[in-house]
Amino acid sequence: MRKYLIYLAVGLLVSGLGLYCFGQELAENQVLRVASPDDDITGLDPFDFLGTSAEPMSRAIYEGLVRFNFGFVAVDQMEPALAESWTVSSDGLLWTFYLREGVQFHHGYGEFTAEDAKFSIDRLVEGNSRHAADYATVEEIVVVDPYTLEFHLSEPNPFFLFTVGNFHGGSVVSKKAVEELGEGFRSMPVGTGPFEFKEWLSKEKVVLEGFDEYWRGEPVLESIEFIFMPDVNTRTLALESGQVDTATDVPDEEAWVQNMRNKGVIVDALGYDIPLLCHFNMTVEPLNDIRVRQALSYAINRDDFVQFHGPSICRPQVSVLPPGMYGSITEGVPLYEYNPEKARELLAEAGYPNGFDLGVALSSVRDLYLDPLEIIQAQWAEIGVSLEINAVAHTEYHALIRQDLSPVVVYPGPRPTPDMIFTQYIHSDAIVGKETAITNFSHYGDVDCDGDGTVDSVDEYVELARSEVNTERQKALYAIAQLQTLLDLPVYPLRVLAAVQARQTWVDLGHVPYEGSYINGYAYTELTQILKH
Amino acid sequence: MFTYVIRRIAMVPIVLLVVVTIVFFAMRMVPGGPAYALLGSYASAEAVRQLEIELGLDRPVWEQYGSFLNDLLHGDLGTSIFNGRPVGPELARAFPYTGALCLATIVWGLLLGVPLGALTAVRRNSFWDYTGRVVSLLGLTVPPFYLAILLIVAFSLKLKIFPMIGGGELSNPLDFLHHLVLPSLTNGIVMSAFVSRTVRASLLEVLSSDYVRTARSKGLREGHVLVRHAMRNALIPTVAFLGVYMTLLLGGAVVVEVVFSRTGWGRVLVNAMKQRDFPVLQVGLMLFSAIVVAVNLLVDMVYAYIDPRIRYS
Repeated sequence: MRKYLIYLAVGLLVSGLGLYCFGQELAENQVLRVASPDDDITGLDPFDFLGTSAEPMSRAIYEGLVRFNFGFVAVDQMEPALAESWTVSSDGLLWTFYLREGVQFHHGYGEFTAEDAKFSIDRLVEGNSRHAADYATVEEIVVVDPYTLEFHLSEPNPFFLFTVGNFHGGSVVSKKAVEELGEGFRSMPVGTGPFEFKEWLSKEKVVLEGFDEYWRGEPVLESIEFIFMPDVNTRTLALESGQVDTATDVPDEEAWVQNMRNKGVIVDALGYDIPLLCHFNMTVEPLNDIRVRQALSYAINRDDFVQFHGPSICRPQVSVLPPGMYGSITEGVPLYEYNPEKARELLAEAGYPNGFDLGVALSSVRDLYLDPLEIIQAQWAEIGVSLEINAVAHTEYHALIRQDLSPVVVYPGPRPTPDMIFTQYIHSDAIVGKETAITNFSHYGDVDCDGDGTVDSVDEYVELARSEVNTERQKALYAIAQLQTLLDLPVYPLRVLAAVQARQTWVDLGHVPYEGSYINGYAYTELTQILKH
Repeated sequence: MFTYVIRRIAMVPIVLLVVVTIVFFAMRMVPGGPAYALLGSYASAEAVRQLEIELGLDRPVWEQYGSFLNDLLHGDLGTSIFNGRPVGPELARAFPYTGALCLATIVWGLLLGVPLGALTAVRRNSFWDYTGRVVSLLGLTVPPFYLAILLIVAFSLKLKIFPMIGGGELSNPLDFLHHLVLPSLTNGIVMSAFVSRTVRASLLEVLSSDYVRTARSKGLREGHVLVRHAMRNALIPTVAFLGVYMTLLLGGAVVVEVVFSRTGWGRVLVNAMKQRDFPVLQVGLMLFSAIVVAVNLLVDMVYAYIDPRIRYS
């Protein structure tokens, strides 16, 4: 009798444990619906620049040699993906990757080998893709054998792993598929990731299906539908009613965040992704006078920006590199804290005791650009500086500001590495109007900022930091560059916004969401699943 | 009548050519362009230059125009700069959604507007008339996107009887219709406001005319007089109005399409405008004008048919 009781007890215990482990039951319908903010995507070829909606799709379809670690993304925490391991030579010029065997491409395009990895990057450089600049220091990629790949660099690049991760140019494509499909690859992508491309119904949705032969394991999700929902109110209502499972590009307002949380939706406001710089066009009088720029900076109250969005998702940005980014300094920097009296004093010193008219500033019609400019306009009006705003269509805005047509440019434009931020916004090569122009609207590096007769620039620090492998030295170089930039004041950093995304409580991502980085949207992996609800 | 129709149809190619030419040159005069649209905040001077060369936009405008016309005459409707897909199939796929939306809107507009207009005319200056006119005023003044959201909150969020996302599957008629109700109701309510006012005005005029007085004096019931004699004549201006309204509908569909995340011509064309997608805009607007011309011709023919005064003049 006692034996049976013991067997019964054990049996109950085991089944109890079993129920507990599998107690988080899965929903029957494993189709994830994602609300995408754009009207449509431009394609799914990593050769092109993929926007907000296409990035999460790309991340589900493609993989890189390495993968970004979940949580707070850091270049020194990258994980193995298509490469099992890697070594770097002591001079930093040779990276060797040992690739994983037996990884299959989607749609029967065969096994992944070093040829595909080499091809994926070569085609960016040869075709002059927007991402080609990331590989400027790569002299040659050598296929040693099908599972060993060498990158020969012309100078050390401490951020190199970033460029072969599952992001932008690092996405590995199937050489066979690209050669076969040509232009068609844009709408028929072939990668090695957990989800295969199924269909793209223009302006409606993109459907990906779970890839059964995925090397990390068969995905739990049957498919993911990225539904194009361009109206932000509809995305909100769809979340509330449970008709979508996740949404990105939601209003960056604290009130919205609290409201959705009260309604039982998980809102992730992680990291500080969207910085904002106010560029002073120093070729426009009187912005060439440092006292005027200082005055305008003292007249700006960063707190107003924080209050506008809400303190839980917005904080001041005090340096060109946003807080949380590698090398960013936030202590001991000149803040030009809100001080309208000091501002007026400086203006009087510069010869404008009653303020002045700065003319017409260009803005995009988009809120992200227009709202901050309107805040600044009001703040400057208080010290007698008048500014008119001309809001134009977004694409026109981008064209016109690159023709030097605005005295101030308030620009978000997040970038993932300090090198990209300095190279594109601060280095003199990037000054608008030049052959090599990118987005240096202030003309910093070519003008005399402080009136001492010499041109001010941080170009050499940026160039040295670019190839400095010693982290302490590199951080020191970026620190100097940041301080000097703040002293010369070609730009005034305003605020950073958290990247706000929302998902239902029944969405189990299978990992901690990305944080503190530039990555758009959630990552969906083979572990992502929909719980019963 | 026959020659009249032939003459109207013969005008179509001319209208299309004029439209396409205007759009072609106007688009290229606006600063910006598809290269900036595609590159966005990443637009460096070199990238823009290179992309424009790839897109063939660095060629002289007349050359681009000639090559476009040449392609068009050979049946090649071009490829979208924005997403690299052929323009023809994309417009074709979206058309049933917009077409159905417009037709369903008209159904709602007439279904709600005609009875309301008749009620306010027949019960003139009564409580019904005042209430009816206020209701129609609301329909005129409430912005469609706001109305759409109200309907979504009521019927999709709270009552959960209609979906708020998408146009449904074309292959599944029930699903398609299910997704059609709220979007068409939104624009239908707006249209019914116009219709009810038009019907009211013309019905008031008809009700005081001689032949209606004759019909009444013959002893016919009021209902019979209203439906058999008055309404048919009162509806003629409404038919004329339909032709004009169809054009507005096609263009105004975009608001409803955006709020309900429906695919459709409105969204395709507006997106093309935002992105400066020249091929889609050129062909899309050309076809749009063709439809407007066709619809107006149809309405004129129907109008001529139901109004004998026009037929015999």
